Amino acid sequence: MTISPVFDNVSFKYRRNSVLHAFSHEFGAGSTLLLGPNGAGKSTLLQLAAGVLAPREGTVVVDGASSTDRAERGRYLSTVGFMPQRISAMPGLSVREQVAYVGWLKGKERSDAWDDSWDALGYAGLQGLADRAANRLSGGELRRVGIAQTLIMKPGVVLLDEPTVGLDPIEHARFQDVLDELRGSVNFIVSTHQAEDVSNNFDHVAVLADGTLRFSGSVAEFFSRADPSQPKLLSAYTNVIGAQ
Amino acid sequence: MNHTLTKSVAAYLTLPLVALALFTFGSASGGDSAIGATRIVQATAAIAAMTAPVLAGIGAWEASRIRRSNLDSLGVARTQLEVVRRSLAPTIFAGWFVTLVIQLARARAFPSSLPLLLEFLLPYLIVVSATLAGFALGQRLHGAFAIPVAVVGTWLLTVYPIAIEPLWIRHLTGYTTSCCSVETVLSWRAVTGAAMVALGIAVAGALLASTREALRVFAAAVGLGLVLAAASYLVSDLGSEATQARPTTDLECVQEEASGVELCLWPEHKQLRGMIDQASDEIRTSLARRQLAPPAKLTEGFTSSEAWIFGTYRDATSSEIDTALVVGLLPELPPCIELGEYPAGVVTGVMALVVADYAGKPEAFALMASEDDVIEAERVLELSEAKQTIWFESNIAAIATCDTNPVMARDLS
Amino acid sequence: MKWWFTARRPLMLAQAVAAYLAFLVVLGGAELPLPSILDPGAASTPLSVFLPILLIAALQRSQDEVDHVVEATAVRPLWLLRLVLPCGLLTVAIVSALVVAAATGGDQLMAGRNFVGYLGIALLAYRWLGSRAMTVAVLVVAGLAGPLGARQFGEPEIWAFPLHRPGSLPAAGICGVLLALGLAQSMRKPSLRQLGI
Repeated sequence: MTISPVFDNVSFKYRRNSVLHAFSHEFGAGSTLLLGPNGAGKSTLLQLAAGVLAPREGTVVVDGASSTDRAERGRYLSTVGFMPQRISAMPGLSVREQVAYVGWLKGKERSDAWDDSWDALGYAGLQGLADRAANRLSGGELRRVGIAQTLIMKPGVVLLDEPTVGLDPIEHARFQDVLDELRGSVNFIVSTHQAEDVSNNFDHVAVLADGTLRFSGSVAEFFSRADPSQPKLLSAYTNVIGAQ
Repeated sequence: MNHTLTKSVAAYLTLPLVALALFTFGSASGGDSAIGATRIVQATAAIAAMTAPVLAGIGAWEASRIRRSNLDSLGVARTQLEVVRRSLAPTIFAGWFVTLVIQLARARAFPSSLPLLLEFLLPYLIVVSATLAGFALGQRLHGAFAIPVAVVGTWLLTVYPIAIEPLWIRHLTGYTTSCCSVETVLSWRAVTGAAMVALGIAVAGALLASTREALRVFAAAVGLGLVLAAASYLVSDLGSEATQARPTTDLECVQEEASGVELCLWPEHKQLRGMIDQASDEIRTSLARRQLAPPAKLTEGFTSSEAWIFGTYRDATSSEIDTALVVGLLPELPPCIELGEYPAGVVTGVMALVVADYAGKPEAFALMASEDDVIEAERVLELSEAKQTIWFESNIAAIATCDTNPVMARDLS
Repeated sequence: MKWWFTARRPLMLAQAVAAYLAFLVVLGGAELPLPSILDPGAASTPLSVFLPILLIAALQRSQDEVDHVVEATAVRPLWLLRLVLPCGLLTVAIVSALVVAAATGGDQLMAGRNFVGYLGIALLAYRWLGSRAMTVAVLVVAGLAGPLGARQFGEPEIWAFPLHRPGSLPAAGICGVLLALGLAQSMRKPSLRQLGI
């Protein structure tokens, strides 16, 4: 079974604003780029997949476990790693302690969480900053802490919500290197509103707009939507978003 | 600007603040002063004690909003003072609006003296100072602490001084509760002192809010200290009340040509002139039968020790006027009675009853006198006229000192 | 659990508790005039009405920089941990009120009882309005109790529990109900407001 989120007839709204309505989709194996304009519902989708939010209707299932079933929720949360849009530096904790804390939250024993945090920091290239206070990191370094927090459980699927927003080119490239290392060993879904993030390094592209899936397919299929006379990336994106 | 207004917390709190303040102070009695001094002062007290703490809290809230937005890291082109001004403008306007509504609801007439005009304008200054002080606090403390410290701290700094010594310190806050009777006016020094403090806090708050440079912070602290010292010096010889005696030039005097009797009343009491004239004539006539003559000048307010001085109030009844006039005939008690023994104390009540009888107003103290005093007064009035004269003159002298024993009725019978 | 607690600023909490205890001993019995709507004359308000707000502010501060979204994905059940801080502060407030009141004969018991009610209000505000509303909600209740609920003579309005004398059963009942509701809400999954979403 592919360890990827499966949305079945999911609806969600914030107070009176409906964000998703009867949304159904099964994310494929490998790496998926979730594209869409601001307000499309990308963050909501990932938060539902991460178990942070509960759907008002429908179910979200990963590896046979439902996010809302009490008996299965623990296994669900252990399988899914989530990096939210905003990473908070927890007061009083060092970088390694913050990552270990997330491991403990996910059910690891304290000693295991401490040991595994070192490996997780290694994936994110942060072992040199392990003892630094988390609130003294730069924005890019904090994002990599977010990655390390996500990977400490060695999850089956990793969800990354706008991980590269606000990063300078060097930090952006460094982050892409981290994702490249993950490729093949874990399924991940990266959401972005920046069309420039589309590249052949992803297996799938999904485009979300106004809470509905406008496109799901390979990168090549995405680019085939472009007008030949227009810049490929922008044209494909505009055509997909504008399509009914 | 519209967007700023709708986003400001002050916009949502204005009407509830107005409702709360009107409900609290809108129906309180205004006291006896027709020019509305008491009501103007009460309005200022309401704003100082109730509105200012809320505004300080809102100022702290706005500061914490700006802190959370991390504006410092955005390379803002505008000066910090402009940011502060824009951020706090809705709060200050809301505070001024609340102030105006309370004042319009309470004042009966526009202030007719400079101290009252300053008192009318003082709460607008308090609004600015409270808001800026709260904002400066919110920049330096996390919102969780800044907001309650701003609210409770402002309230404490406003109301606590009336409970501590030195007494004059209470005049620096604008929270005046002692103004005014018809015979007193607001002291310009109290108002000016409070205005200086409010202005000093506003300027210091603006400086602290607009910069973190150590020199400017130091300048703000020093400046505020100097203003506090100057204001304290200004009010330091005021007692517990922010009032002073009303100028007797305000009295309206009418002299009867035939008798030479002059009656001076405060303008607020002119409608009582007829009743007072009649009562005083009756008293003079009754006293004349005993060969006693009160001074020709009957007056409210202290003009000279030779005048017949009394005090009354706007809605006084005729019996209350009678009592007030008779009280004016009684000898003054000496200051030394607070320091030690006062032998003549046993006859002061008796003297009041006797004088009331001589004045033809025996009911003047009927409800107030003790049984012993009534019995002794009856004994005095049963004495012969000559002995009554001895009793009267001896005890007039005894009451004026603290070391003279009085003459009792039994001593003369 | 050590990391959970460290992320909640234990040093700040300890400082706030120390300051609270100092104020309780020194100022806990003081009273000040507060304007009252129901009676034009000033009713006096004990400072014990406002002192417990310091602990509420500390609780709010401790929650403020925690990553609630990450904690929302926790496998470990955190509902019990979410009660640790409120109950810890509750214990401090009640024990200190009992001890200081017994030692000084003052009205410091009011501070302990009021904290019970304020904690309930703060936890409810946290759930429905987010962490920034915790202290503000308590301030509104404490601030309105004086003008609207106080009387110069006789007992305050029944809802103005912060002003009631220490032995008041209705006030204790109201505080108990508020606390129970607040703690019950704390044990639930975080709301959208609490997550900052």
